[in-house]
Amino acid sequence: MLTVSFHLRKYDLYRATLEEWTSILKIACTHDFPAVKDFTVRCLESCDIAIAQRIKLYRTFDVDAKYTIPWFVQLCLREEGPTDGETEIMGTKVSLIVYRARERLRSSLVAPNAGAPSPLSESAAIEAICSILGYNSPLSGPGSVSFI
Amino acid sequence: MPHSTNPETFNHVQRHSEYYIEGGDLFLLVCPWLSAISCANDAFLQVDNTFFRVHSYFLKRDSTKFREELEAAPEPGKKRKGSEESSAIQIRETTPDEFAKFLWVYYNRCNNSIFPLLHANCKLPS
Repeated sequence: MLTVSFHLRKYDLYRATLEEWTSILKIACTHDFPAVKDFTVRCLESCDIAIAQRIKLYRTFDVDAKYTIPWFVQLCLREEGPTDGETEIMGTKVSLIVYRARERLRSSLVAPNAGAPSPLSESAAIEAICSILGYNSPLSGPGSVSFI
Repeated sequence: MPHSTNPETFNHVQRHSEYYIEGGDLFLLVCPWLSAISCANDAFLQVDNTFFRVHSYFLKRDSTKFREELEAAPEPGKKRKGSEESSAIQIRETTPDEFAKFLWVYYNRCNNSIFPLLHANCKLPS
C-alpha cells in the first residue's frame, strides 16, 4: 500500500496538457530517448483522450504495441464501428484495420443453425488485431507482446 | 539528430530563463526553424533561438544519439561538441517552450528545488 502511494505521488509531479505530452513525446522520439518515450506514454494512458485521437497519436509516434493494441481492441468490441469523425481522425489505413478486425471477429460468431450469437470475446479481438497488424498475439505464447 | 553550430551566427540568441543552469556542462541551441543557421536573414530567424545549459548526465544516459555525439572525440583544434556556447549542439525544429517542457521531465520542480529528481538518481517512475 505504501508503495502504491509513493508511486502515485511521483506521478502527481507530472501533470501536463495533452499538447505538452505530445511535444515531449515528439522530442523523445526524434532524439532517441526510449525511457522518456515510455514514461510519456504511461502518463498519456491516464489522460482523458478520445480513442481515435489516442490511436492516431500512438501510431504517429510508433508507440509500443502493448499500449496501442488495447485501444484497438476497445474499438473492435464496441457495438458501433468507428464514426465518420473517428475515421477522419485515424485516417483510412488505420480505420480499415479496425473495420477488418471487427468483421473478422463478428463473422466468426455466425455459425449455421446457431441460436443467439455468442458474446464478443476480448481474447478473440486481441487475436484479430494482432493478426492484422502482424504482431505475435500475447495469448500465443512466450516471446510475444504482453499487455499492461 | 543534434548538430554542431557555427559560432559566427549567434548574435541574436538568448539564454533560457529557467534551463540555463549554472554548473550545467552541456550547451544546447534550440532552433525552431529548419534552416535557421543557413538562412541569410539571421536577425529574423534567430530571434527565437535559445541557449540551454543542462547536465549532460541525463542525456548521455538516456539517448544513444546524444551519447555518441557527446563522446565523440573533437576534431583537432576544435572544442568538444556541447562544451560551451560556441560549440553548442543544435536541437532543430523545436521551440524553446517545447524543449523546456521536455527538460521538465528531468528537472521537475519539487519543494521549489530544481534538482529533486537529480538527487533521487533521477530514474523515471515505472
